Amino acid sequence: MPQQQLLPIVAQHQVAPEIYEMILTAPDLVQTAQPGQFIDVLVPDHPEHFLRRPFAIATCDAKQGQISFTYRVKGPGTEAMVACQVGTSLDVLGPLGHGFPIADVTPGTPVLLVGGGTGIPPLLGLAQRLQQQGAQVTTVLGYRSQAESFYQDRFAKTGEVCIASDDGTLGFHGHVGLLMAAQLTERHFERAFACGPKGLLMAVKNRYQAQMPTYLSLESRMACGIGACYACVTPTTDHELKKICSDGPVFPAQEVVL
Amino acid sequence: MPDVTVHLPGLDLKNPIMPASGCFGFGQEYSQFYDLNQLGALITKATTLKPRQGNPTPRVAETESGMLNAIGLQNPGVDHVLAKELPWLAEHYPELPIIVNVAGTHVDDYAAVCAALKAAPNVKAIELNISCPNVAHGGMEFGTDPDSAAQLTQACSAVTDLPIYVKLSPNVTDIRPIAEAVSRAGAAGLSLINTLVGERFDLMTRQPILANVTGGLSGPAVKPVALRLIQQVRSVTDLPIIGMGGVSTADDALEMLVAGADAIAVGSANFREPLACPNIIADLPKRMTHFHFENLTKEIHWEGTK
Ligand SMILES: Cc1cc2nc3c(=O)[nH]c(=O)nc-3n(C[C@H](O)[C@H](O)[C@H](O)COP(=O)(O)OP(=O)(O)OC[C@H]3O[C@@H](n4cnc5c(N)ncnc54)[C@H](O)[C@@H]3O)c2cc1C
Ligand SMILES: Cc1cc2nc3c(=O)[nH]c(=O)nc-3n(C[C@H](O)[C@H](O)[C@H](O)COP(=O)(O)O)c2cc1C
Ligand code: FES
Repeated sequence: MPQQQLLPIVAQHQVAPEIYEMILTAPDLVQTAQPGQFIDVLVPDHPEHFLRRPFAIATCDAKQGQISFTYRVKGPGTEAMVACQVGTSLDVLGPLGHGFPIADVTPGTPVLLVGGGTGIPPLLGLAQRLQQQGAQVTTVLGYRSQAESFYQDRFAKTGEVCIASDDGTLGFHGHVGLLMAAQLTERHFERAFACGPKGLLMAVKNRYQAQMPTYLSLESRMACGIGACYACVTPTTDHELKKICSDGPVFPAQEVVL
Repeated sequence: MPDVTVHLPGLDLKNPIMPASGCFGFGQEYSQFYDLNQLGALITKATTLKPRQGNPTPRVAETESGMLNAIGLQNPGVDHVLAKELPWLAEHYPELPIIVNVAGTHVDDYAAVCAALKAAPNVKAIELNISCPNVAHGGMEFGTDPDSAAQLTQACSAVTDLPIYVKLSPNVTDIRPIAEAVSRAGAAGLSLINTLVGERFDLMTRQPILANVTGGLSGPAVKPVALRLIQQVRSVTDLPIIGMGGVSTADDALEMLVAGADAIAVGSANFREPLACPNIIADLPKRMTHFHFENLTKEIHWEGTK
């Protein structure tokens, strides 16, 4: 059940150029939020930024009662969020949507996570949760360059990490689709999860959906964030439309047309 | 305590506040946030004879203090609405008056939806959408021509006993002849404004943000335009008006009532603030006392329009 809450900002710091991590006190959210769910955030002090902004929940710290999300400065709304001060609060709706299905992942199961750009943060919480469940986690991360990379060290604590960068300054030279083709064809996984730009989702869908349960987290421009306005739909393989905000954002790869 | 009740054809409302069409689905989503019994009434998403898929995405774009939408009337069709959505509302909110927003492409399919709605006892009125700017044949050609608007109103009134509130388009040179034409054709009331046509471009791609290129502008940015059109329509008709366009606070609602509206629909504000309607309802008596309103009858309309 989503709630509207004012969540105090505990910390905000830059993790890469133009990329910031925000930590919020959210004792209720940490109880219920699942990896892959998102929050819809009102830009404080700027009523002209009329709509809320959707951001994936990155990590949940049950002990501290804190959640984090990590965002790229794209337009005026996220630009204004950089100025948010510790001690003030964010007006947040959440948890929204359906996250990655992992309840039935058993200990020892080899799972593959593939993320690129701002699709990377929600995979961190997913990797941490899968590790707690005893899964064998392999993560493929795609960045533009070494300078713009973040969170590799935190993923390294959850399992194996393969890194690609568009300009070759870090890890494999090329996008994650090429990395998967070059390094992972012989590897056995039983479930795949992906979040990132369309090309990345296509690559994961095409490579894995016929072999194993494969789940993709989609994005769309949203208005309500809860399924009431039909702004955010995606076509499905059976010629229907699903709402990314409330039916997703995570979908079985075989169900959606990208 | 000031009296916030409002009495309109088919609608005895405990307060004048209702969510606007398309901004509240069929109620279920927002019922996660509050008890919908607080609402005066509820206006549903546009309902057409057959299910409609709507426009390609992106369907929404933000604007300064507002937004553009080009949903394109996606809805599950009247059969599904009668089988699932309206019974859900009747089961959970038996006392809540429902207004179904009806859309179509020809007189026949509009009339067929109006006739079909007889089957749902909780539907107390129809809002006839002759003003959707986002589809090629979504009614706006009815909404921009007085004769077609009148013909459609007449055809729909003929097949139902429910009061028909005709939802007018602001995208016209003069809204008054259309208001007068549908009034003569048997409309029980009017509803305005629908959205204003606009566009936005992405500077990085130099392309329109909306896949449909154009979309309908709503939100606080349109409020002065809505007030002006409501006041103008009030000057030519005594029909009740459900006013909407940029209302997010009790003061916005009162301003619209002064301009000539009799009840208020709240649209885009729900997206920003899911509790927009209950907040307005809670604030209304206090703000009425503050501004010395005793009730919300016609007496509060600006006398310049009387
Ligand atoms: C389910 C979901 C999860 C997301 N998670 C993250 C995340 O974890 N980190 C991150 O950096 N970004 C994420 N995004 C994208 C993020 O929502 C946009 O980058 C952000 O809204 C841009 O806001 P702005 O004020 O900077 O841009 P502006 O251009 O000012 O935004 C104007 C409007 O367009 C919307 N908008 C613009 N670009 C996008 C976009 N790419 N996707 C959706 N809406 C957009 C905004 O929400 C706002 O309503 C997510 C999007 C979705 C749908
Ligand atoms: C996302 C969205 C969907 C809408 N869908 C409909 C619709 O299906 N039928 C209709 O008559 N009006 C529709 N409208 C128009 C609203 O009902 C209302 O007339 C308009 O948005 C102005 O009010 P507001 O500024 O409070 O949003 C829609 C508006 C929005 C923002
Ligand atoms: S954003 Fe409104 S239905 Fe998804």
